[in-house]
Formats: sequence, structure tokens, C-alpha cells
Amino acid sequence: MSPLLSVQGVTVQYPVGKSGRLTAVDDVSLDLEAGRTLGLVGESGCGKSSLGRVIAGIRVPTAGQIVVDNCEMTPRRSKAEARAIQMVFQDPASALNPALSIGSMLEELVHVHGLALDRESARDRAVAVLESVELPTALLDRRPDALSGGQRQRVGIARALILQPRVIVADEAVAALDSLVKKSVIRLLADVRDRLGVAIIFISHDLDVVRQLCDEIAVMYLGRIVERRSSSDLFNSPRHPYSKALLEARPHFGERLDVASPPALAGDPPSQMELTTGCSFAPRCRFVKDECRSTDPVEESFGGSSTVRCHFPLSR
Amino acid sequence: MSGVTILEVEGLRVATSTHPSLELVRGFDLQVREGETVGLVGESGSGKSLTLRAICGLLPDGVRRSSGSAHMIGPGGSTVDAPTQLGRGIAMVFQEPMISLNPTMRIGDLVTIGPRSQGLLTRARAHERAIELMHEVGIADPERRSRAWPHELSGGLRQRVMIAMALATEPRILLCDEPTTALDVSVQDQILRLLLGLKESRGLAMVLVTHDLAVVSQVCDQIVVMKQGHIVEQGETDRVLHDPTDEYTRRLIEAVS
Repeated sequence: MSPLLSVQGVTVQYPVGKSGRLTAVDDVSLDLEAGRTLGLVGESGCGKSSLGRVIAGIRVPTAGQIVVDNCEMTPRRSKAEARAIQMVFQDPASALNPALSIGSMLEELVHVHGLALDRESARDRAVAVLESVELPTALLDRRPDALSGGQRQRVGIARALILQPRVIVADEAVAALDSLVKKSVIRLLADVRDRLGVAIIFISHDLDVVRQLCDEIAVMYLGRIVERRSSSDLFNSPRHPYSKALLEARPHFGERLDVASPPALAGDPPSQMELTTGCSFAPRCRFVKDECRSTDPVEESFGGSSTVRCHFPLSR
Repeated sequence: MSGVTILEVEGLRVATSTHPSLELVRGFDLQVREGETVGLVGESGSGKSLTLRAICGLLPDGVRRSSGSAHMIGPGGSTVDAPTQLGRGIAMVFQEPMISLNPTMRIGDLVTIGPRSQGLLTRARAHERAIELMHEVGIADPERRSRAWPHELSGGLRQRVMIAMALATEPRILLCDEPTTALDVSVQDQILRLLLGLKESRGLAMVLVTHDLAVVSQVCDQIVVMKQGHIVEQGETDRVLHDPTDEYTRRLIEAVS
């Protein structure tokens, strides 16, 4: 069976200065089945958002393709292609048109995409989608500024859902929300996935949030996926030293921080501007050996879709 | 912990200037002892940041302290109004180090701006002091970094600079408003370790405002939970985390653990 979403050799480069180039995403490939959720995690600048925007068609990649249901997406996506992959953004306040009521915004989308023949059926769709994200239909006549942060993010999800996408890319979709609201929005995304069989790429810097929602996690470092595992395997036995360090660095509820011990991950998140030879994580790696500094490791698969890119992966 | 109280807040209320009946903080009491770390948690709009700002006199326009008091208590038991002590006994660390650092000043000049503006430090001695402080907050190669501009530093380094600026005023208590929220977990871990280390080396007291209960559970001795301007729970960290008396606190804990 071929996967629903296939990301093939995607590279994203940005011009820097007069002739420089910054490689934000470096030849990344990944597959995802319908009804599955993949978390993309990593520090600032690892390329997770750039990759997400390429998948969603907001950015044209320097190289590589996005394939949905065996159909290769064109660089400037047609309306049908755009509907197939929809995005949910971090800050719903700036992602929603402040001048339009929620109802007008949703109906306009329906019209632009030719999904309804008349006003009435467009309104019916807007009502239905609002109910599916557990919002009162009274909000149809409100503008975004009258909504709470959690309500806005539900509208952001409704905006994506009304186009009946096969894939949703959610970029830090709950990062700006309070913990209780965050939990309810995560529950909603899980429900959408299970009910509609949508595949979700969930981009986040917060591993604990990712674990709550995602079946699998891909850890990115300097534009590459360095480990891909099922969520439980990654949390129980990370194989890439970077994954292990990221897991250790996150705040552990109820455990006093031991100041005497060194930080889990020293130094700043890396910059593509200071590329070295060998493994890009070598300068910060606790387990670094000579080979790591000279030779770039290749991605190795082990069991299902699990991969790791390290010369000396930690034992399972 | 020595047990000497250095900050005492009693019945603090904050209201809007135009509608005094519209209260945003509705009665806040807190005692902070020397070397103690207090976590102030709550969701957006709970009043936690306003409380912190009322203590150090940095309330935004349009809101004011309507009643209650906040006092710093000196070694001899003398008390002074806390809002007058910013830059003396009290220092503040903000969330967004890019916005909070003057972009037109070099790092070395920024670090000692507090004591220099009060005439406590001569220009000649300022550079030396800046290097000492940058070293204390773990900035590698402080000589070179002292000549950098804020935009040339990473988020983690900028936050270290802000902490150095706070230390320059030789505070007894550090008020931190979401000091690690804008940072990656790796850098957050480094900054929390730095703050805890300073608490030990300098005997600094700290009030940490954050929405992240996991962070609070890692570093604080005492927890205060706020909701809609009220304190709903207050106590020793272990007690609050393991045996919360308030339903809202219980839900907050459930959401992260």
C-alpha cells in the first residue's frame, strides 16, 4: 500500500547576503499513512517549520516533491491540490482576517473553492464545521477579536477542515495556548484524525505535547531528520544522542533540578551558517568520537519506519 | 534557608485607573524569605504578571495599585516601599530579551547601565565590572561579547545578558517574568540552572512568574497559584504538587503531569 503523503528529497535553501546560501531543509524524505500523526520536533532553526510550509504548499522547495495519493503536487498548487493539504498556524489571531466574521470567512472559502452552489449551502457547511470543532454556531457572526485564544485556534482548525483536506500541517498550533486549553485542542486534533482519517504533521518544540498526540516522532537537527521512531520508543529508548539530550533537557514535572550536574544540551541551537565537516551534531554531542568529526553519518533503517542517522546509535 | 523575610506583600490590589471597581488583582499576600524561590503560576489573565509589576513599580499605564502594600525588609528590620527599590534591592528579568535590550547599545555598556545611571560605578571601572558579571552568568569570551550588539547574540545569550544587567544592581531579590518562555528547551534548561546557581552562590531570593508548572516544580520552594486575580492555592512546592487543596490547581497539575 502506498502512503497517503510522501515527501521526497525536499531541500529548502534561502539566499544569504550576495551569494551565500542557507540550507534550512537538507534532502528530507518521509512517508505518512492516512489517520496517522507524525510529530516534527527540534530546536529553533532546525528546519521543521520550513519543511512544514513546503508540505503545505506555502513555500516552493529548492528541490524535491510532495506526493499525495500518488499525485505529485505542482509547485503552484491548483485549488484541488491546495485543499488536499491544509495548514493550521501558531498564532490564530494573525492567521484570521480581522475584518471578516467567522461565518463570512468560512463561506468565502467554500465559494472560492466552488464547494457550494448557493449561499445557503455554504452557510450549512460553515455551521457543520463549527460544530465539528465544538464551537457554538453563535460565533459565526463574531469577528476574531471577540474570540478567546482557544476559540480562535478552533476556528483555525475549522478553516482547514472545511476544505476537507487529506493532510493537515499544524505548526506550533498549541504553543500559544494555556495548559488546559492546550489539552482540549490536542484532544480535538486527535478526534479529527480518528473521525476523518486525516493525516497530521504536528510541528512543535514541546516533546510532551507531541507525545500526547502523535503516533510517531521525527527529530530534526540542522535540516535533517536524525531519528524517526514511534512516540513510545523514542521516549523509552532514544537512539540518537540528540534525541536523548532533548528529552533530558525538557522540564521534568516534580523533579528538582540538580544544579551541580551539567545541562543536558550545552551551547546554542546550531546555525546553518557555521557548517562543519562530519556529523552536524558532533560539536554538542556527549558521545562524540573521531569518526563523527570527519565523516557524515547516513540514515539507517531498523524495523518498520524507524530510522536513525548516527555512527554510534545508542542501544535500544 | 535562613528564614528571614525580605519581601512582604499584604492585601495587594490592582485596578484600572478609570474604573477603580474593575480589579485585576484582588488581594495578594506573600512573604519571600532570603534565598527562597517562589513560583507564581496561572493562566493568561490570572494577574500573575501584574502582581509582579505592582511589586516593583512597573505597572503599565492605566492600571494602578488600589490598596495593599509591598515592602522590602532590611537587615535591621527597617521597611521600605518595594516599588521604590527597583534597581536597588529588586531587579527584574523579562521574557523577551530582544525587546528589553536597547538595540543601540553594546552589550558591555548595557550590562552595567543600572549602577552607572545611579552614579554607583565610574566609567573606568564599568568595563571591568561588565566582564566580571558576564563571566558570572556563563557568557564565554566576555571581552569579545562585550563589544557585540544585542541583535548579534542568540536568544539564550541575550537572556544571560539580561540576568547580568539585573545582577549589576546587586539585588537581594530577582523578579522574573516568564524568563524562559521564548527559549528552546535546551536553552531553558541552561537558564534555569544558571538562576538556581545564582540563588545558591548569592543567596538571591526569586519570584518566578510562569505558565509552566513543570518549570516551577523543578526550581521553586513555594508555589502560588492565581486565577482571575485571586490566589487560589499557596504553599510548599511538594505539598501543592502532591496534595493540592484547590480544584483548579488539581486540573492544572493534571494537564502537565
